[in-house]
Amino acid sequence: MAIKEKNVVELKGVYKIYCMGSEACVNALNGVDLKIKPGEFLAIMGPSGSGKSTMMHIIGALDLVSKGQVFLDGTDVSNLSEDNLAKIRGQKIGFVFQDFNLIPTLTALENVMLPMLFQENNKPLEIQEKHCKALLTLVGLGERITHRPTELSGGQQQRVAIARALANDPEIILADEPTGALDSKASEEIMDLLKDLNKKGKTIILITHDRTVAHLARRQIHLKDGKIIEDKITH
Amino acid sequence: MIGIFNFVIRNIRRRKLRNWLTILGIVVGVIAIVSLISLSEGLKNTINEEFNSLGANKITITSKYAGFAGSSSGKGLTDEDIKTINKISDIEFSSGSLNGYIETKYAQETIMISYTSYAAEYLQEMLEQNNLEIEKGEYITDEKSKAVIIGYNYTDTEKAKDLFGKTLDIGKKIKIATSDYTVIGILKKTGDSRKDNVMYLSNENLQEITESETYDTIFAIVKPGKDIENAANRIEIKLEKARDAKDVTVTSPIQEAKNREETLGIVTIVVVGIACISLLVGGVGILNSMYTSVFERKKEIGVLKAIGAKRRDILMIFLLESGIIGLLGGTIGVILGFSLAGLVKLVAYQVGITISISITASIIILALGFSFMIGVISGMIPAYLASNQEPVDALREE
Repeated sequence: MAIKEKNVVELKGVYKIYCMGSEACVNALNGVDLKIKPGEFLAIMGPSGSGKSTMMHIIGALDLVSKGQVFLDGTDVSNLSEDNLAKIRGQKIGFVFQDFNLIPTLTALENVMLPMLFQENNKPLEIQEKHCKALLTLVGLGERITHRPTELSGGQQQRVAIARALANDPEIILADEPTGALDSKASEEIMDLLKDLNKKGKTIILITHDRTVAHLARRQIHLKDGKIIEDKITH
Repeated sequence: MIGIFNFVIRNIRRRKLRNWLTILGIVVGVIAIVSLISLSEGLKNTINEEFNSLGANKITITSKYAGFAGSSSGKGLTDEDIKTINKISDIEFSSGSLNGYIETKYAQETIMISYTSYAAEYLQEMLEQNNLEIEKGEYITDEKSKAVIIGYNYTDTEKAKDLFGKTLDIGKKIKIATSDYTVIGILKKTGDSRKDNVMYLSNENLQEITESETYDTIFAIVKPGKDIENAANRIEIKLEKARDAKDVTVTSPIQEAKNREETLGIVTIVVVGIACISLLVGGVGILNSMYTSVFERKKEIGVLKAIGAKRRDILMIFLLESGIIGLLGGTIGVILGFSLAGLVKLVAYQVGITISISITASIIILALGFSFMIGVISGMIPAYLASNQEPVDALREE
């Protein structure tokens, strides 16, 4: 089927070069080709300095490539303006960060609603609220919608962050070390939640150096010196 | 519940102490501006009211060489001048007036009293032009009768203590210079102690007492509907011709009001200008605070951008934040500014000076608008910096 064949993420010969001064340049990504199909559960692995953070920035439309092309859901985002990138991010990608990055002044519900605030043609507030309450219920925090981040445990904060990532119903959940700041029990719960979301059809891209976490992903990609050195389907 | 506005309010509340200090900077500036404008507008209103009470159709003619009370020389204004003025078609009538400060005796007490005289024929009308009215007794109608009309204070038990020590009433006799006069009228209270202390005589009597044959002032009343400036010009031309000298000053109320308002306007501009400088300093406070805020919230800006905030969203968040800080400062400043003006009024009243203050919607709108603008302008550079941050750089921040 044609739709099945469409890539949700596609990198074509992507280079990302950082230069400190005129001489010292580092190829953070050194000619990467990658295709990710809808509904995949993928882990991007590698030691620090391997280019995984850069990879995440490129896939997440947070940064532009130095050379090559990036397609998100069929759209070439390689040369988009900052505002257009922001629009794509808001619609197609849900970010989950290692340290949650919730806004401390806002309640759980308000944090979840935040991505909808920046979308054009906003739906009525009541509908947004209902939608976001449902998301919090989905991640198991239906009872804590008025709590502030400081009143929640790390695991709970990460659930709020996942609910926030789901607010605009994006194709891709891009999770950067989502369990890096959590104990093993909370880590397990978060990974279960991500697996559930994957079963419901979301494409999950994990960036991690933790092998146990990476093993939960069906497909694992290993990066080294800005290149993909291994790309395997595990189970 | 949540919108950018709500988000901004939360942000302001997060850094309570710093924002309050920043707001304080604006508050001080706005207090200065609002209280000064309120007082100067009040002063302007008082002057205008005074003018209206003096009669908007009354032209005042004085001799340039006339001295003070009773010392009018041969150059003073005469009955001839009154005739000249009365010939002008736009003039209803004109009447001479004298002022004098004369020893007066009553109940063993001799004090100096300020007198004003008008022609008996026009005395009631001239008093009414000054918003004065008889409360008890009658007006002087006979030029020759030894009658006097007294201000309210002479009948007030409290105020009379500082005057004759004893209250006056209709029918009582007082000794002005060397002759006895009978009190035939008492004026209503005006609340202005200068006016309430004056006594009124007919021109003939005051001229006799001061040994003068001329007038200090001639008042010309313009017919209703006629142009006052024009009438004033004609009086000046006719008088100069008749007297063969340019020695009279003709003042119309409009002209006078203009002069005073102009002077007051300049004073207001200077004083409010100085107050504006303090508001600008408050603006620098906002600039400083927002600058720090942008650096502190670098990561937050990165997160907002990651979840889809465009540059103008970030710009809006920061501009709104600084604008609201300005507006908050403005609101508090307006309230405290009017309170300060009120306090000044109260203190002045305690020491016997009556001043009025002006509290108008335009002052409020002006002050709030101005402080909001100061906030927005101060926030512009920090907001621009915030909106221009690369999301990757912002996210990398710890």
